[in-house]
Amino acid sequence: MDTALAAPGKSQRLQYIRERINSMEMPDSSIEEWRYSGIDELDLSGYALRSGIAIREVHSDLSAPILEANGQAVLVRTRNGEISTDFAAPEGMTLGLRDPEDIPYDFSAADIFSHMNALLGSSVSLSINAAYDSAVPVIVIRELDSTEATAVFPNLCVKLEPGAAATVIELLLSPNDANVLAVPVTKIFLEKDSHLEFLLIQDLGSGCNMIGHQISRLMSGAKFSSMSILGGGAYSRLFTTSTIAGAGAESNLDAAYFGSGKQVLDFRTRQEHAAKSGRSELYFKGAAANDAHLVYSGLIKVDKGATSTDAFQTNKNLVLSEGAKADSVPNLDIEENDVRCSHASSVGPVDEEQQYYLESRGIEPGTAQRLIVSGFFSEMSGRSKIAGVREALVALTAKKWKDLQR
Amino acid sequence: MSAQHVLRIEELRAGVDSREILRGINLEVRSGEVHAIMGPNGSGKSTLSHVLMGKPGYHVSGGSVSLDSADLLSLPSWKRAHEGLFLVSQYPIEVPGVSLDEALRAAFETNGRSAQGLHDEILSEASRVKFPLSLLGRSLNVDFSGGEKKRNEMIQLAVLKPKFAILDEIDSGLDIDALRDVSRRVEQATNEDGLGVLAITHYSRLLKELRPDRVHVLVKGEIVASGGPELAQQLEKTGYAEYGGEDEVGSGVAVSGIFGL
Repeated sequence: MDTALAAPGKSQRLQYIRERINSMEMPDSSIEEWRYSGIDELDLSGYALRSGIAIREVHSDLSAPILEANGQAVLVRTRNGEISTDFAAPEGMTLGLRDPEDIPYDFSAADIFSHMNALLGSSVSLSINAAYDSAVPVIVIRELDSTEATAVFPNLCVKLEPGAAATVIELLLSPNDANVLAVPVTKIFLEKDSHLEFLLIQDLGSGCNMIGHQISRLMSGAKFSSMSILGGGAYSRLFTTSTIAGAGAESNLDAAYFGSGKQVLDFRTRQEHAAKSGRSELYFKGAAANDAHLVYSGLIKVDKGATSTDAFQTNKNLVLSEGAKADSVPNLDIEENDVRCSHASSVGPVDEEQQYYLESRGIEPGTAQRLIVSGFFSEMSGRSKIAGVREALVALTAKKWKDLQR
Repeated sequence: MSAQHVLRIEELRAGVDSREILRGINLEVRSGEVHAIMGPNGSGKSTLSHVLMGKPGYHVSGGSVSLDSADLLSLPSWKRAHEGLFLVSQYPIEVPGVSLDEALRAAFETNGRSAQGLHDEILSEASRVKFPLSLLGRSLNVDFSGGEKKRNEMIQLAVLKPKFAILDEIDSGLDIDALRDVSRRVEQATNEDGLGVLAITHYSRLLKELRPDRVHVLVKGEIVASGGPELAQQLEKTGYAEYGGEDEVGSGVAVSGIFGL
């Protein structure tokens, strides 16, 4: 982090960002962070910034169970990034249209796209303090739409004040035939002893592309639990970075994603331990059908001084067809001795023994496979406390299976 | 009286890769009958159960297996199940994220059976075999004890109502109470639903609970002797050596120190 920028004024900040962007080149697959991504094949030149686009009705199978299970939620609606509803913030919450001044701009691991988001993005910022009723979830619905190639830079900043607790759900949606490059950035800043349950549902149309970031920073005793469920986009990338910045903080990062057709779903993760006695546990699971390609590359980084760290990383991939593939690259970079770290990854087809066991009960092979894949995802549901997550995980398989039958 | 069905195995030869393990098995099981197949390690017991159910990886080189008029060997496992065959696995497989309810519902739907009332039936069968109801919503077999896994298999057996069940060494990993409960449930199915049973085991311990009508001795892929229940008792005394087998017939008592049974 560039400490000189911990609390810059707005014009100073924008000037800095412009300079950073000007000094950067567009990435290509020869750079490690973009290896396997196929970013070279993605033509970004056709995308333009457009305003005043009428957003069409969006239906999302993946978010329906979440909306249904959280009927009492506070809803914040944004369209192509911009807030579109009159909003009376409940007690303990402040809604802003720019990042709070005391949030450092550059947490870590920013790339040219997150810089562009900072320069061009429309911000929705939620500051939540201990007076907020944590039983009421906040749902931020980000509807994106355009039939002409349009780049959209939604920016969400969630800040929990000391001791605050909240559930925040982010739904990133578009109609199926939308033509949008989404460059969302979600920044999460958890002050001392705060606790955030977070859920991202990404259900973009098959013609959309996404290059997204989720950046979280946890101060001492803070607890972050994040589940991401992704099904959409042609190329969808999510860079997740979570920093244990205060002693004893705990970060749980989970993701479930299912690629079909020619989708490329690309996940980069970084668990950074900059303070002692922290715990981070990452569990990412993906399935690939047809000619889909899954990419996972993750790093556990334990800095000098981050003693008594527990850090775990697991990536499991189901490859369901000959043409599908998955690359999984877990990494450790540990500069301290007194730590417990592990990483594990697997890539393979549906377990034959499970398949045979179900078939021997009289279940037709295709249905048996669907059950196993659905179970592969839904067994993660216990890792999130948010209502409707199990149903959303089941919906992920159901939606993809419907596509596969076509 | 339920309808009479017959499971007929004729001259069955099968194996793995080019190795022949079953060398001409002949056996006929009718509704309501309990047949035990006993044999030492390596005699082909597990191969027989897998070949009957159609597990991938085994090949049949000769003979036939029919259930009534259906030629089972020409069918994939799931269709054999529809014809009325059920395998109680020696080691029921863990299926993360899939509940018993979901699996049985899918089996019913595949078979065109109405799943109405299924959940209640599962509940009542679970109580009947003392399966903890708290485990019903959980993933199939995941973190179940040996006894819970076999009790769970009994729920499936009871709900699916097959015509014939193969019990593949169901005494593996079972304590004496679970073995008794599971055996009682099988026995009830033979009496109430006319279930025919083929129980494959190494140990005579199971047969004290299950009380077979017929006992067959399988050695080196062939049935070398058949008889009434007295054959099991005799085997316990003499072992398989007299039939060319190498190891002893365990009574279940001898191994109790080893497997913690």
